[in-house]
Amino acid sequence: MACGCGVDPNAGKVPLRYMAWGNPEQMALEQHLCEEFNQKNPDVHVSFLRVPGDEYGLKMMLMLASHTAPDVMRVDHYNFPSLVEKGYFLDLTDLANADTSFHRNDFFPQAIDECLYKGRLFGLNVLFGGVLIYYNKSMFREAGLDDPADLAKRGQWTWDRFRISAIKMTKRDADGHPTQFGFGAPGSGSTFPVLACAIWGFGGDMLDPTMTHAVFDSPGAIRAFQMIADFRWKDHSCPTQAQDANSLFTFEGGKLGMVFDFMGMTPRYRKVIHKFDWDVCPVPSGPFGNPTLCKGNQLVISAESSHPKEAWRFERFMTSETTENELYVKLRRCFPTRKAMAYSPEYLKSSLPPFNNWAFVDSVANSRPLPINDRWSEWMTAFSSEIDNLIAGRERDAGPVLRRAKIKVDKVLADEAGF
Amino acid sequence: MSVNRRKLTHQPGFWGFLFISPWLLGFLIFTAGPMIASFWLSFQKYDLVSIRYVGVENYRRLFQEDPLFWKSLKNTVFYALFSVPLGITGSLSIALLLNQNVRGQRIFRTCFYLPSLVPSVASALVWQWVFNADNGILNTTLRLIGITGPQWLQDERATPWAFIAMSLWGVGGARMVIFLAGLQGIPESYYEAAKLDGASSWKCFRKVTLPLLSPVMFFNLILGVIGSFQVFTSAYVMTGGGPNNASLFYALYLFRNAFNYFKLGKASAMAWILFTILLVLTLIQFKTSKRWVHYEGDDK
Amino acid sequence: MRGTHRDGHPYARIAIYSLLISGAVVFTVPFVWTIMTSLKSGEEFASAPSRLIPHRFVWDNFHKAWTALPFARFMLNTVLITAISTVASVVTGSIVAYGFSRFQFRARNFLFFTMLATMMLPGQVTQIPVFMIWRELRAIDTYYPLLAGSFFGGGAFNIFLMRQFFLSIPHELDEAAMIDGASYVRIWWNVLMPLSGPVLATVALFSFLGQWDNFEGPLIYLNTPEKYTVSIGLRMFQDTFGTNFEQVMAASVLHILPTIVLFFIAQRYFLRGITLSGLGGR
Repeated sequence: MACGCGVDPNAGKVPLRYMAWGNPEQMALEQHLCEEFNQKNPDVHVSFLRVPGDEYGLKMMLMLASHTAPDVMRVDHYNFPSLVEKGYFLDLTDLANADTSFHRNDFFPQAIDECLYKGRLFGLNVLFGGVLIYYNKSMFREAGLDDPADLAKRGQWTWDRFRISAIKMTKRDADGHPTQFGFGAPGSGSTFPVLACAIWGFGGDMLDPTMTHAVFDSPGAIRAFQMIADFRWKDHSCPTQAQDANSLFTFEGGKLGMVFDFMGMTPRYRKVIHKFDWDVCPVPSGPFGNPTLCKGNQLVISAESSHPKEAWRFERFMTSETTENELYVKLRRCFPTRKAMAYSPEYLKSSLPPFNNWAFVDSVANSRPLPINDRWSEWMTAFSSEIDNLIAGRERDAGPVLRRAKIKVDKVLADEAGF
Repeated sequence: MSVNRRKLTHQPGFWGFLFISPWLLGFLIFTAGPMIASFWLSFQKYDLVSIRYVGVENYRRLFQEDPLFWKSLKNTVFYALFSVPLGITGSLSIALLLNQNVRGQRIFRTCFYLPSLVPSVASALVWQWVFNADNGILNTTLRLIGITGPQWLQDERATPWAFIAMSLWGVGGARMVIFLAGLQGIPESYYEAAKLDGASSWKCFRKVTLPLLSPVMFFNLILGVIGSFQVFTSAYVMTGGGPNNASLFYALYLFRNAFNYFKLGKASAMAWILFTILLVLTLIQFKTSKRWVHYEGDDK
Repeated sequence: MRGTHRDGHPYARIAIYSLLISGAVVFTVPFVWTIMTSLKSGEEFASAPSRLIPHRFVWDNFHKAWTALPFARFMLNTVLITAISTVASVVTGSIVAYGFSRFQFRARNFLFFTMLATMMLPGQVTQIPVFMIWRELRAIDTYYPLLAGSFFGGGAFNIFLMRQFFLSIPHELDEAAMIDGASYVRIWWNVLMPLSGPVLATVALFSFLGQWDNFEGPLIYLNTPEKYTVSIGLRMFQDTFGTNFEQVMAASVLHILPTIVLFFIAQRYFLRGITLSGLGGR
């Protein structure tokens, strides 16, 4: 890190700046990786920029727009299509073709597809994986419930079972104040990951395949949204936004029976959870199975970087087999992007929770991509403005809400981008 | 005064210009120029990458097709409608109390000024907890007297009041000090003269204090209205505009359009609409001020 | 000390004091509560947040807040920016105020009212083009955009306050110095400035608070975390360690403390620096 030292030990090296966000554990890890890279590559010095998650999108766009972007950035896939379209990122296709150690077939196709724009490669996937459920094993046991992972193996882990389990794990004190909830969804406002798998499980979808109009008014999507709303407002098995404020109910605090999230939570939960047993299981099945969503972040190089070769070397290091093996197989920081690694016995067996690692593999194998394109944030804003009525309990009937949302989103999609 | 001035008039104007040139230069570069530029931008579609002339389309869309624009305007007007009068009354009351011949005036003044010393991000973080529905000090205190407080920052009906309440925490700040300075600038002899005429305290206040304080009041009112239309940091940090956009204030929505969505033409149009609104409000205040603002003999 | 009603009725005095005391309590409670929370352990905070005084004082929260992020670095950056802009505002502002208060020149009144009128201009009107200027100058992610204003007078209100104060200083002093052969710059520096302690302290305090508190500026202009100021650093802290609320409060206290220290230093002059004769167009 830059300091006012008299002699700069990094003089004469190619300076690279790398920017990312994440929880303290993730940040410590990436810092460590940068240091390791610097050691192994004496001609390059990578400095690591951590930007808070809430401001990350804003900061990255301001940097890209003001010619101050770092050489390498981690981009959430939500923002990737709209930024790549503006020409901010370097086309990596030629660098990848020239790199004899880079084989596209090693990777899950989903992990490569996310990085493509007009058939060209613009990034490498990291923090990739599908959404599944972390569950508090002890709480399930106390409530006399069947283990959801066992149920899933027998094909009996359905949304009905999920609902019953959530209700049974919800507890209140004598004054009626909730002390424990059946489940929670990350980020009180954006319950979207939960919704996506429910929509698909009931045969609905978000946009049509051409991504030109919304289809959330289908019976399947309405049923799914109705169910999610009822969990909160009829069953009260999930904290409301007010109850969730200031992180009063967290999975790690032992106050949620289940939580929907990506794989990245494992190291944190391993570190902070000591008071109960926990594990992972797939999302519940609906009449149309249990497809879940899978998403990653992209490591991209700024189109204005003056050191693209070194930046590529750094990206390759961050996504190398050794790194993946170290991070994903051993530390379980996240899911590997390489097929062979995910199916390796070493990955599937572990001595620390979670033990059901097959659930991670299944979630990716059984995944669908979200309809993310350059219009994503625009239509999501329109969509959320209606869906929020349901989530916040101002309206209880999903049908009208979704029909209004469809009209709004259709209008956004038909309009010129960026107005 | 005027005699001295006249003696100084033979000084070369050159020097005067030279001394004010830092401000003049800054004004031209950072205010006048950008004002023209942003007016021009408000007729363009611009995202820092490509620019295109679109006529009044930005304005048309804001007025006709953007419910959030109207919502943010409504929120802001509601906020201003309560926070400005309450704020001015509060500031004046504190200033009046402090202006009594009280012991420990400095300690009291510090206590009242303290909240204004708390930086806005820190204060937003503090109030986020004050307003916590279950465990916050506000609802905990209300519970002691048997009232169940609302979910201040999660219930859209309560949120605007939460912001108004929070703004009142700052009434002991600069505005109060300006009132206090104004009060202390009123010559004691005026009160003595009024007392000799047998005026009651209330009459003194109405006939002496209020008229002599009215220019200060006017100043605070104008700047208060303008300030209230620009609430940003507290909403950005505390609620991010929620719930259901109940705290989406005009400045926050403008900021989002400018620096989150890079709709710079639209944001410029919003800025000019804001400017027009404030200009009209200020002019109305100037017009009506003739009726209530008392000026001493002109000495310009 | 001057008072409007020297001879208050005893009941009126009691009423005044009880109003003042209860008001002071209401105004300071959130503040005291913040300090107390910053000294609680995480467990105590989660279990009994309504209790004011901690069972055990956990000074370690401050240590953690200070070291968890480069918080010391943020503090240093902020002190640097604030110090520069405070000094620059006082110096350039007083020069401009001198020009407005002591010289007669063409369009002076017009320019003075223009300056006052800029107080009514919402910052949003100029924000985007100003951002574009700094972008063209490749000065994004530097401190220049945050500091520039203070080198051009430091804002209309500050200039106005100083001009009012200068007007109250008798012109005979200038003239005496002039007869002694002093230049205008000398008069400004050697005659007016030494007599203007209260207003300079007031303006310095306002400039300090304005820059110390600045959130939107650093949010737009500073990208590299090592350059962050405390206000966005604090926001980053909340984002990263939001679940450790007692530490967030400790970090907030660290942000608040310097302003309070400065207030106590400046408060001797504070009120005297605000000369309002001539407010509102006189």
